[in-house]
Amino acid sequence: MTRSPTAIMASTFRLTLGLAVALLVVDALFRLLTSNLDAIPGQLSALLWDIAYVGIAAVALSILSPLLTAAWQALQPTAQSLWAAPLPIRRGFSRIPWPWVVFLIGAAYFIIPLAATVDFSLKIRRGTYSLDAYTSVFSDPRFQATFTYSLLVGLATIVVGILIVVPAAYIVRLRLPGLRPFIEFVTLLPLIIPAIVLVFGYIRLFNTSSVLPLTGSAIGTNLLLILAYVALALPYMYRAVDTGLRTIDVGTLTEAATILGANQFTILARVIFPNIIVAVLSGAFLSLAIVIGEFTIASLLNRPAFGPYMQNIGANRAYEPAALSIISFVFTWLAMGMIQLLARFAPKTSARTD
Amino acid sequence: MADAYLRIENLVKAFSGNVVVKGVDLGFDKGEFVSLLGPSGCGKTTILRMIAGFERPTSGKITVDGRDITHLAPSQRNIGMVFQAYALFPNMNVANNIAFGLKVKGVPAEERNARVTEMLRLIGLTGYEKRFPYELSGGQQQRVALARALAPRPRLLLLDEPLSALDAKIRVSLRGEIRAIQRDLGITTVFVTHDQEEALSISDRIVVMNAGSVEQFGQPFEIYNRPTSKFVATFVGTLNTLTAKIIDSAAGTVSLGGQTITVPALPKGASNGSEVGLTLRPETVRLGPGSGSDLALQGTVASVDFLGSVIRLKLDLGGNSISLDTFNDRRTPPPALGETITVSIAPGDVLILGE
Amino acid sequence: MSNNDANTASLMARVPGPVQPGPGRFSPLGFIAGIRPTELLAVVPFILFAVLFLIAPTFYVVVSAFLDRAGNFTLANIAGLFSEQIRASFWISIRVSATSAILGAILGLLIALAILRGRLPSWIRSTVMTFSGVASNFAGIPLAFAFLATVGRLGLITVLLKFLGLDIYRGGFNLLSFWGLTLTYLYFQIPLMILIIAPAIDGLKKEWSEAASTLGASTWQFWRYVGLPVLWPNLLGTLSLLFANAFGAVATAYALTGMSINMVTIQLYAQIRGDALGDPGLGAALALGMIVITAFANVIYLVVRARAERWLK
Ligand SMILES: Nc1ncnc2c1ncn2[C@@H]1O[C@H](COP(=O)(O)OP(=O)(O)OP(=O)(O)O)[C@@H](O)[C@H]1O
Ligand SMILES: [Mg+2]
Repeated sequence: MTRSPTAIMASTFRLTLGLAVALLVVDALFRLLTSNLDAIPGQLSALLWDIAYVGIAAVALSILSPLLTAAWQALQPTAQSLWAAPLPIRRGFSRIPWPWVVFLIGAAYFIIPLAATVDFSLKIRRGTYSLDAYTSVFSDPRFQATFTYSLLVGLATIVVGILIVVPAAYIVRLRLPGLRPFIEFVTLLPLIIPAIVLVFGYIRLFNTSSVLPLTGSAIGTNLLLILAYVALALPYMYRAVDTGLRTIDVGTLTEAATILGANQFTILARVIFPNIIVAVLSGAFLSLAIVIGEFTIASLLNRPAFGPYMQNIGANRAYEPAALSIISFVFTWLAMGMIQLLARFAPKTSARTD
Repeated sequence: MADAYLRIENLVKAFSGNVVVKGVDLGFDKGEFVSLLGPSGCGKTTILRMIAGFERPTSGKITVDGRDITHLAPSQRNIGMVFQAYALFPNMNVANNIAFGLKVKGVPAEERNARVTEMLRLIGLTGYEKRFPYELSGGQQQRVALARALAPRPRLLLLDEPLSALDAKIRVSLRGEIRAIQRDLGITTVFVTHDQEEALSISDRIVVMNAGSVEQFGQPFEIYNRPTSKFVATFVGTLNTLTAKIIDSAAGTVSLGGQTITVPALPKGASNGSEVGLTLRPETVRLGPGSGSDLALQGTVASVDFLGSVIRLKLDLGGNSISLDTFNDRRTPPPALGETITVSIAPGDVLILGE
Repeated sequence: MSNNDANTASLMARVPGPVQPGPGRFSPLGFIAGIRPTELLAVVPFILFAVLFLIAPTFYVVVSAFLDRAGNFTLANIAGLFSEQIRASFWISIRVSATSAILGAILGLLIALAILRGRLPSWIRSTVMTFSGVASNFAGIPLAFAFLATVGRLGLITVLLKFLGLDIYRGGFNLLSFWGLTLTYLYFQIPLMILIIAPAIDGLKKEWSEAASTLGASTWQFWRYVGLPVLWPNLLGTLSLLFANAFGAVATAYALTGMSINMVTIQLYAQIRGDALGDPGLGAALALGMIVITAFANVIYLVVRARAERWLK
């Protein structure tokens, strides 16, 4: 089918205009995001020029498009209908195995820093690879102390988190579905409000002259750190528990236990909890991974935790930080690996059909 | 057959060594409505997907109107397809769903709109243009899916169990609608189903498949009344099997219940005195002694199923058991359970089938 | 309060199991009627915790941004935000967060599409998903160390490239800069995007692309008219989450640059550390500014989503 030159012009114009707008949006974003505040006016005038260039190009291309189309058709071998032309061979652009390209580039971006860090951590001695950086880290009493401290705080965070989240999630599911939107909103808050803002509030709210002077004593500050971490881990903990509760039939289990004479507490501790233990543990390991190397809150509360220790080493040593980085990575991987392992034991949901 | 519109030649498909379509040859005429019928897993969907271009045949050839399309990309085949789960685009309303095929081909807006109006009239959903898929019932969604497939005027229409997600009533009415629209447009259609009643009621011809091969290809009347294999006979409709003894294989006489009858064709090489299975449809067995050369048999009533217009009886013939259908007649009540009655069979209705 | 699908989605991604949107409306008084003491006992700790450690601190920050040292209302703190230095610090934080969120979303989407729809071997898929779980939590100090060891002045890649004759630091690259930070942040932004968007991509039915291709659409047309529009609300939600994720990050930037880059979180960190000297009112104003910006990112998302809502049930 042959189309009139004006139709070709119109459709080319629409197409190029669409492309031009997309191009200009990217251009504007790029110019905006890569410039300092004082450079923005200059960028804006450059952007106006870009708009002019692209506009002229679009118009020119549209005017020329009937000619270009004719030339293109003249160059084509007498077009058989698409129907008849077997097209098994993919050409040019589409022959590149894009998924592999994307995957390999991504893999390079993620593996190179790890490899480089491993390499760096082994180079503490000139001219030879050695594990000395690791030995130095592991034998540092401050490493042992801070890591143990953070581990203990992490465990306490998990326990407190479970005590706060599990009963609430259970009752909300069972009897108070009206509270659900409120609870979900609360659990999303830590993702929207930056942790540093929260800790700023804590320090002012719980200072020595307040009603609840948590920052006044070491024990109180430790408690505050644990509670801050509970807030940080709340979204993950709540979601994990809620998912666990959904996979078991809370209502029927509770009724069955009630008929057998159990009270609410017994039901929760003896019937519900053992059934969601796998989900709870997934949330727990995730919390641990988040909390163990946390820096901001621990440092602002002046706690001897692993995060501030790492920062301190980073400021004073050359090779040990790389070793610490690898140790942290392995620890995170172990925590995540535990979640994967636990997922195999999770009760299978009937709600999931595929 | 030589000038068939859609031709499938020696089509083979293996999934990692597992051959699921085993050398299928078929030819469909232009404007024909053909059903692929067979049990689950026999390869119906796989054949359909090879016609559509989603699966690459391991070997063989598919031609439409004399042109080889075996290696064309699906988007270049101009084939309409309707899926079991509707597969409407959730982000588009009914009008945009129907217009999609035209839009990607660059058809101007006015022409698209006209076509959408026309298609909506065809499927009886005028006024639903602005609805989104989730605002439609299953039956309505499937009709929109049909309109979407037909809007770009495809050369072929493929339907893969389009009705099986719907409930019984709608299934029956919609299959009638599909058939009417198909007749209207004269579009060559391949319809996959494992519901034999569905296939029998709407097809011009039926392909009965089993385990990756074609068992029989013919008109519904032929498939039902002259099945060429035991598989076809049992898969399509209900079948009685009676064991008889061959008296004279050359003359075609057998002994059944102490009586001698002549049957149409005995299998070749069957020796006298050996046993043979006689098969017959329930509706060919009549109540009463019959006439002429009819074979009369006596039996006790083992069960009575009242199905409305039809009554299905099960008789015990001493060793053999037989089902028979008789029309409901309000002046004569059906035989009682345990009653001894006489039924008759015309020897011409008896089928003798190889395995 | 039907807040933020993406945030829900992110949780879904990090925790095994399906997620349902919460049904029902929140009627503040309706649920109190007929409540039993044991039930109260179960929810009170949660509510108490939420009030004391999430709502009160936020509220406190917002209020004290408008109070002077004597406790009187003032706009001086807010006005203090418009100083040259603080404006610049907000701007660099927004730039790094927005760039790392946009690039992270695009690259994460591409990788997710490649592993989920690109017919790669299935072990790649599971490995990438596990790795994403790890890398999205591998933030903060150790991440900064890793990038210092890679593209720092003595990092492996820097040294390697110099050996090959390419001095990236002389070429204008600096890890302690906008692009350096963005490159580092991408290490957790991309995996987070993959984790969140993977379930959404899995939700794209195979039949949709097959239907599109029988109708004559090219792969590109399928994504243009069906795939991306269907993913769009999810993409936007994830974008706002990635933005907030980067915007609130302190440790990575701090360990990487110390005080040498003027990010708003580092400004606030410095304000809190030097509380005796610093100006608590200004600190509260900074915190308020941060809340406003992350909330704004969420509001943009909610507005755009509401317009796409029509076909989302
Ligand atoms: N992509 C695939 N990979 C491996 N095996 C497949 C694939 N698709 C189908 N099969 C196998 O091919 C056989 C035929 O499948 P097909 O879907 O064609 O059956 P069907 O006749 O449509 O059955 P149903 O009535 O259940 O839809 C089945 O055994 C199936 O397991
Ligand atoms: Mg099938």
